[in-house]
Amino acid sequence: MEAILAVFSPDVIFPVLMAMTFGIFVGGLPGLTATMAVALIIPISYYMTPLAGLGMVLGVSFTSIFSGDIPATFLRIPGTPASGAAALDGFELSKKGKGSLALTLDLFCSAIGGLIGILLLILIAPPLADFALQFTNFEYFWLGLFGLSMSAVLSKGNMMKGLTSAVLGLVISTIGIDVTTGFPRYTFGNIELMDGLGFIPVMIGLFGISEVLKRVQQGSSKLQLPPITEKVKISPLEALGIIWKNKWTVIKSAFVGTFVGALPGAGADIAAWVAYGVEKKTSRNSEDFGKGNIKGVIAPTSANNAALGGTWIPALVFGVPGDTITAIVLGAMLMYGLKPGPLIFTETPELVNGIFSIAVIANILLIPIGYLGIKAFALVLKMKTSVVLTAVVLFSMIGSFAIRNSYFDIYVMLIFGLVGFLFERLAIPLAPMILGLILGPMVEDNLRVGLIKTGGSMGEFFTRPISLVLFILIVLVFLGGPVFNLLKKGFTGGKKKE
Amino acid sequence: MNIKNILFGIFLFVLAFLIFYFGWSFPAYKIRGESLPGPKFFPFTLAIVLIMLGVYYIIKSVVMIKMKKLPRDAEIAFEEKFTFEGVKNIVAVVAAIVFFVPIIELLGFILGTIIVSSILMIILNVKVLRSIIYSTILAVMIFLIFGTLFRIPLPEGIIMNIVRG
Repeated sequence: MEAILAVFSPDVIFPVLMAMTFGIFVGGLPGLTATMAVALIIPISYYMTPLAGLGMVLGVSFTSIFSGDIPATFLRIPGTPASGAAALDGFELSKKGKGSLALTLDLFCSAIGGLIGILLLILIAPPLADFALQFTNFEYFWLGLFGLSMSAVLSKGNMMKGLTSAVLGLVISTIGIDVTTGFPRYTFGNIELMDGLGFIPVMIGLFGISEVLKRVQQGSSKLQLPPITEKVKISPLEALGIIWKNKWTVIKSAFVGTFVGALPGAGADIAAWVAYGVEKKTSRNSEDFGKGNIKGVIAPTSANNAALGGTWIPALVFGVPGDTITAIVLGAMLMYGLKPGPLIFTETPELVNGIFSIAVIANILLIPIGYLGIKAFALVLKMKTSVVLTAVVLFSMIGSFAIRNSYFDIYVMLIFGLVGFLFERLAIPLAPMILGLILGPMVEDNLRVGLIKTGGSMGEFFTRPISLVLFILIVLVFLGGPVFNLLKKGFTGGKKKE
Repeated sequence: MNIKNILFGIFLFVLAFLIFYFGWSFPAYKIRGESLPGPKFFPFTLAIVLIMLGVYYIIKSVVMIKMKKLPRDAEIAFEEKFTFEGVKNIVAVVAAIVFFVPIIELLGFILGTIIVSSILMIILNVKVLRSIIYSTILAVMIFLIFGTLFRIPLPEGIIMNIVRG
């Protein structure tokens, strides 16, 4: 009770509200990620108390992950990588004039998913994190491949093209200094390439600039963004009604999201893809996914905010970051003189309880703040399309530049914009490529370290129980669809004969 | 679409060749005389996968052409035909990005952004006066957010530096 009262003191709640508004704004701008929002709020939070500071980080991460879905839905430009999965069906709904419906559902699912994630964090943190800690290089290798397989299989169209896109993403991830040996690979003496290609300019290029190029190519007569006319208005009560009908999807996705989030290295983006995949695979109308199925919005948006709760499990309990956001959080905690780990629960229980309370309250506050965010973004979309596209180009350029203060990244963004534009003409999905780039180091490092441990033998990658389960899951991901279709064909064929 | 897929298969071959060509000189990784997976291990593995995928696309597309069939994903590919206006617009966007850096370096962020943005909007059929007004609002807004609030160093411009001495 004391923890809750402490949260409502003005020196805590006002900074948290300010950070949440800031998160809506940053996450909603294409190219500015939730990670960037958190990184930018850290210097400000430094001047607050630890509770207020960590509350700001929590608040900004919840709102920015949600608001990343706003441009994803309206423009098919994910505001953050975690919005990639939500963009598939959200944008299709938006094209049908149901953008507001998608985003209202998204908002409630984000809040509910976030709450479930936090409740799971409070209830089952230690055993779940314990399980994740059993993972070694062998399991992390398969886990990375599992995330890639999911995104390859889930992409619209040909599975092989999804796989190719993922492999190309892995190829891009090899540019820069090799972490194991310190040798620069494919840098051609360019200092800017030593750190590798930043995933933010690549992501903005693939998802932002390629979309702009597609639209301007259609000529001024067709220069029109789809969501400007909203045919379907929806009240919050109606949205809650729809969510109630899909309650099991919300709960299932939130559980999946929290679990994936709790695995170190796997954050909200992978959680969203996995939840989307699980929902698609188990749905009776799986062929509707990617064409504007509301479950395709509900599943990933419930999961990505739930994953935030999950990412705090290993971070808070064991001091191991769940994703890039919690990696920054751990840095902030050390800045406050706190030592993340099991002792934090016994030494500063009031702080831990305060963090839990803020997380619950921030998820409830997400609804009104997020609602204002949707309205504000809709105003931007009422502008002439050419103006919006020019603004997207400007924000994309400055967003690519800002992350490393590098002009080089603007040109990287342009190259990947052109790559995305050409690949869409070949029906090659773009999301697996960005995931390949993000997961590349995880897959490569764990494969190589695993092989070094075993002296070059792949045996342990298949004989360890969790590794084997993950490997079987990957095989099922690829074979599951075709085998299921064959069985279905056989079954329906048999029925017809009868 | 089949021809495009064959060209894509060839692109994958070329990419794999480049990965091998530029990675050949990467050093071996040995500890106590034992060869371990070094810097070339992962990219070369990926290059082999790319060659396999390239073979897949080429064989599949040749078979499809012989069978006079289109691949199933042909319908979801972005197939807008290139018109003069479309190409002009694409060139305008690409040029705006290419010249953005030298222009803001020369004229400073705000003035440079207003000029690049206005020209792009005018080419994309926004009226001249509106283009300038919208561009000014955008440039000032971006400057306030990134330059002032986030303290990201935005260029003041060579001209401004000369004026200031």
